[in-house]
Amino acid sequence: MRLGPDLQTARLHESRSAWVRSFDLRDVKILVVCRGPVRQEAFEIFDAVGVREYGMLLSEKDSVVYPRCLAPELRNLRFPANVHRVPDYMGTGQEEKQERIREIVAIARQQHYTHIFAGYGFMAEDAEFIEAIEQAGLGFIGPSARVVRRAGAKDEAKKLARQLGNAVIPGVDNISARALLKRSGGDREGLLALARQHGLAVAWNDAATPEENAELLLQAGYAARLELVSIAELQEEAEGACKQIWSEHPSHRIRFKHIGGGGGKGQRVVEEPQEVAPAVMDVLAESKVIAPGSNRNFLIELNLERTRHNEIQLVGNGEWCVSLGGRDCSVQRHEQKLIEVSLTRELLEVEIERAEGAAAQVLRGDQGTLERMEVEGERFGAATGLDSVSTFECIVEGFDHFFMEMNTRIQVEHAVTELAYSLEFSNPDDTSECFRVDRLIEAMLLLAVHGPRLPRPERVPRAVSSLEIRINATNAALQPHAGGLIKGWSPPIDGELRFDQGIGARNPDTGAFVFYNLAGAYDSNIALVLTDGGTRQESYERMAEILRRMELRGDDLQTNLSLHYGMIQWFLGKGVMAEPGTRFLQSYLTAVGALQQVANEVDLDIAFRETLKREASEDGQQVLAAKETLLKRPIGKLLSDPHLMAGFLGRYDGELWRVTDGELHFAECPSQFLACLYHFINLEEQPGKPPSKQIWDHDQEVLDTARAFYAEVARRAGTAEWTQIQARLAGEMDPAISDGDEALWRACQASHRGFQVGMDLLLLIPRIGLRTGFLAMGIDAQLRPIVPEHFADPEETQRSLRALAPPPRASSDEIVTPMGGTFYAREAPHLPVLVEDGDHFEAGQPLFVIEVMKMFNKVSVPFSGTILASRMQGRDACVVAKGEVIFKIEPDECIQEESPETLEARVRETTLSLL
Amino acid sequence: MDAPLPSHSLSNPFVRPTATPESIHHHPGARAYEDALGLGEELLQRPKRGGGRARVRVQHGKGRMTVFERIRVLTDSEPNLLWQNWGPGLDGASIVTGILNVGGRDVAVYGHDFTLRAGSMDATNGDKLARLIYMAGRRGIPLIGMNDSAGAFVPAGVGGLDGYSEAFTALRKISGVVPSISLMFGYNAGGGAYLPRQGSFMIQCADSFIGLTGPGVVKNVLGEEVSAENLGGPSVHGQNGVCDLTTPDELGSLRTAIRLLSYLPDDNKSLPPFRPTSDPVDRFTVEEDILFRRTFDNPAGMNAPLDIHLFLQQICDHGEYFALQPTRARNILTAFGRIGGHVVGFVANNSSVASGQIDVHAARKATRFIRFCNLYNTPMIFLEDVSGFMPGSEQESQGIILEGRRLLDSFIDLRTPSITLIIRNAIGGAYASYNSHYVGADMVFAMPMARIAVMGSPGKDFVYKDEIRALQAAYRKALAEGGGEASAKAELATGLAQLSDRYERELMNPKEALALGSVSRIVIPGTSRRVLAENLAFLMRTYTPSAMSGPQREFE
Repeated sequence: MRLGPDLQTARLHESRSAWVRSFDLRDVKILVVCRGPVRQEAFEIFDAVGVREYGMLLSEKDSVVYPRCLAPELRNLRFPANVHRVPDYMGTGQEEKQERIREIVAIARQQHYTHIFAGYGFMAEDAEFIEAIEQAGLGFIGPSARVVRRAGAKDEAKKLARQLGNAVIPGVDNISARALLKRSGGDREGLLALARQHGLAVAWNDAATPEENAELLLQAGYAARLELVSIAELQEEAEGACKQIWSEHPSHRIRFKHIGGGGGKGQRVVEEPQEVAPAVMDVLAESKVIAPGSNRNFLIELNLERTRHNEIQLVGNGEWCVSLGGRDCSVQRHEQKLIEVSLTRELLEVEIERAEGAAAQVLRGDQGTLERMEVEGERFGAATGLDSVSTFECIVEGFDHFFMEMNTRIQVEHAVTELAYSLEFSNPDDTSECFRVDRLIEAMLLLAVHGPRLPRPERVPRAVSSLEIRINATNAALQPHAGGLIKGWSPPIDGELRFDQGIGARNPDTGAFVFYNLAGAYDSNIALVLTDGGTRQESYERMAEILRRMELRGDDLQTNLSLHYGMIQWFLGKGVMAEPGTRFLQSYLTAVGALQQVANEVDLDIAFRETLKREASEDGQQVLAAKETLLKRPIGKLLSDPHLMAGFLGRYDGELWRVTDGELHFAECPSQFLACLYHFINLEEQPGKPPSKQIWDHDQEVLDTARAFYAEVARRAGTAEWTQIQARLAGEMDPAISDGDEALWRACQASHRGFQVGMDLLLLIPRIGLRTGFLAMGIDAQLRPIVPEHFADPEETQRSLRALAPPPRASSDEIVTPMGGTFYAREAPHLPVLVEDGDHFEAGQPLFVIEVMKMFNKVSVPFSGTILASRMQGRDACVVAKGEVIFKIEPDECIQEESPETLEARVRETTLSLL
Repeated sequence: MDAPLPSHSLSNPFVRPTATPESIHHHPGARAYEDALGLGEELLQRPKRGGGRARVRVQHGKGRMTVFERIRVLTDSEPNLLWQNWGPGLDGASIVTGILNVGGRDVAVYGHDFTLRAGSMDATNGDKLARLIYMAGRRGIPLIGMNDSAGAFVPAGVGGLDGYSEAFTALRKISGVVPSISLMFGYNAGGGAYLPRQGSFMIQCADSFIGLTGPGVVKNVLGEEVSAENLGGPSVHGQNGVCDLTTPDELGSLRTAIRLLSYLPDDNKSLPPFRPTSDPVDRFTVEEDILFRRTFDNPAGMNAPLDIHLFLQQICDHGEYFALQPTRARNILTAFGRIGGHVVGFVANNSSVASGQIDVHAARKATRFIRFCNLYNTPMIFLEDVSGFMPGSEQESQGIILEGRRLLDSFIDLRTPSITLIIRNAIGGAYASYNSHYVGADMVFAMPMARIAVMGSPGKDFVYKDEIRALQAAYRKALAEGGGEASAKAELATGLAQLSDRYERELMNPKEALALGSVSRIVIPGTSRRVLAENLAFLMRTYTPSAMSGPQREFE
């Protein structure tokens, strides 16, 4: 990986200025305790700024749990002795977390680390963890525990924001306190009685509200691990709160979010009163706070539907706080962001200039919103004493914004901001002495080492626009797909910034690409890819080019690369200033699934044969036959990947074809269409690429000849308008084209017929777009997405997802032994059985154990289903033969037997109907 | 008169065809030299045209590259083609042969040109193929074959068959002299299936077929309806051992061949490519310790399956290894890797698949690999964790005695440096045959968890006969004295369980093997990379690569 378009890091200790040299970063030894792309990025920055030494934790999942899944950072690590083994980077429960904290502190002390860096891992926002580090006399590269406590807990943050007059969403942030008040009767006596009853020494504070007093008692309860409010009481209180919100905001949905939640975990959205109680339970269970005495407080807030997700990057040293503009992260699903684009004043100024009419109006409104968010963010950051970087997260509906939470850590998408702004620190006594910081991790390190001494920096605009996409190991329906093996990855191209965890780093001995197993041990993220540009359009075009040329090969490999490519192209076609809401991606995915459903029933061979048959002349048939690969190859490629098709449809609708009165026509010369298509699917001619990854040479020749011919016709005819060229070539002899030469004219017409024969086949693709309603998707004058109603229908979404990623199916209603041996229903005598009658099981879940010659093999199946009856009741430790029935089951997905004839007829009908 | 203009054309009428130079000659013979040059140029170009544009389109229509396109994937350099105008048509006779620079090494390459008579074999091109193959053998360079051939050219009659015979013979003659990789593209039947399998390794890509006969013949002769994919596709041959590796496309096959080549020596007189490593050989590998702790500290204890890949990646340079036949007989792992820069052939029992028992398929897979390493001066490391050969009627009927014996003999025949590391189980016949000291291992190491014994816990019946008799007597006595049957039974069961425990404690360990010198040392988890690297380096320092010699044994 390179440091990107032009991100720089400086060795401050080498400066000629003594003042700059005083911010020396050499004398630290940093322990990196997180994983993910940020780990490798941090190492590179540490190397660049001249950090003396650093080290990393290594979890079991990154070393001994999966084959070919060794942390790629190890390959070129400068300090191989500084790899410290831990079971995992964080603990799953409270106890394990404590254990991990002790371990990290011990490692840091023994190995003389001076600082800890936690990236955007879970630990990065854990006040307990940070406090332990601070107390051990170590530096934490990130916001201090004080800031995290003040700003990180979602309920506390909201209260503070309200005090500061920041806009927040309607909702309840103290449901636990309310429930406690209800239990205690709501007054001083009740609360104090409750405190006495539990042996908690809590005094009543007259200056505070009853809720605040209840909160104090709750805090004492958490500290003593005492349960003051039951889950049932919380459920009841939540039902009341929701009723209240629904009475004011009917037809809205309501979101529950545990105060410690993040990354989509510990969250639920409810629509109906009866969903409230189960949702509360889910939220608490997911957040692992079921145990008595846990802090179970969760936020209840109005779920804004047509909202965008914007966030402001903040950096501060405790005294000053500077906003570094915003990022729009609205393209997300299930709270997982996929595309993040920069949102800055400079960008909006440029884009307002470029926009027209209503769009310009909208962008001007956005300017105001951004300004308010930045001001509020800085105010909030200053109030919390922010002494590192943080993100001020808002949701935006129209021009209104609401504060959601502050993430007191560096975020995955931080580099979007790095490309947009850098920081310039100047000596207050001599402004000629200054230095620039491009990387936020470098800024964090500076703040951790020299914080209070750092003067308030100026932000210096860099690129007008930047964006990031997250490459994840997910299937076409964006469901996680584990187990793929990367066997090759094209190196980054010019202008591409790639954070790939070091996966692309070659074997240092042999120079070979190192196979990497995407085991899915942590999350599905593989890499982050960024680029920038002078306008949003330019940055999107660069990203499209990066993704177009990116080649990721392997076994059983599924990634969202083609979704990204398709969507970036779609936006390029429809308008990159579009303002999709957080639910847009879901609708888009549904629309892509609709394309897939039709594509499943298209047989290109049938289509080609039919086209051949319809051609009357023998010469025509011969010429068409010579164009078979030229036409079928790119169309086939689009049919095989609905995300590619979606991107092509979005990018070129109205440019290569037009729809008039429900009929499709070429808007451009079909040769141009073909050339665009070949380029789009990265099959254009390019020296150095393997021949099978390029247009075949003979096809290129036909295409070149056709384009040269039409270019000459256009030149002679004095028009580039396809409809005119077509009409003139079809008509009487055109002296302008043929110089009045009859033979030349006849030859022109023959060539025209030859180049055009069969070209209608290309319209099959837009026809699928038309039939599914995909072409009706777009962006309106106010920059809002236009989504046909059926793409917002949950049932349609389900159908689409199943088409995009058909679930594994069972071929039988029985599960049999894969080998002979001794059967056990449980892993060990003292453990419960693995599954019982009536249990639902997931694909890959262990169902029973077969012991063969002292080896205990856990048996699973590759599909999901429900156990109807065990045939092995009471037969534990019995010897079974290979193929013996263990369970009668009901699989979730059965193979639907459709006769080949019916299927064939259906495919034929669909195919012909699209010609 | 002009021919009638076709109604459809794919030419650009605005571009006039370049006129041939004026043929004005002052006297005959003035252009003789020019004509000769023209002929030369035409002869050089002719084989590259293959079967002509229409045939190339058909080839591309199947998603396949032409032979010249495949060559471009193997090398950036201009291929040094030999005997280009072989054959009566001066077109190379549907086989392209040459010496390619692949990653800086000379490699002999042949490829069928399917566009020319379907890449078929006739009387003359078998000879051409044989010449290239012999040249590879004589010059000591690896051979890559890109097979895409419908079989013998029927009009050539017996000549086509003879062509195959020549090629068969040539390839067999260089077998064991230089390594070869057969890439399977397109449709390969009959001799086109046997010939490539005579090579060292076979790689098949998706949408290709290998079989003695195609589905058509199968249907005619046997009435069996089967698709080409189900008859001879990669899903079949990836499982039966015919193919060593399968790939998703031609590009994948070509790249896999280049990767595989990086572990192979040029010939049987040289060592495989050594690559100095930046991965310290003396590092203490904490992960090994963690791995074993995780594996054995669980409900199944020392009987828990262990995925041996996880161990292998801890000892290889930068964790890299290259598995062969990875989708079949997964109870045994065969792989190339490097330790301290030396290429090593690894054979490892994988107890996470079917208990890691050696069955017919595993034995066959390992045997082939060991024989290859033996011929080509490749040192071997055996990671042993096996409780036996797979018993049962299925195995016996498939001839486990023959296949297991093959494996045993391949260990005995092994002449390259070899080290056995016993990780856990080394029991009974499996121990005795699995490259033990007396079978010929240069060194046998054992981890402290090693369980080297004649048999597993049922062995207590033989070792503690007296104790068992006493328990049974006590049981009978208790019954006779009117004690409850349940309590008597429980006592007997407890007693037997204790004996099992005692057996495990006293006999399922490396002590006896160490005392007898069958195991030369204990290796503590975490130090195996260091110990293996040190000993391997020593063995390699004192090993001179040479061609195999000595008597041929009766069985392979």
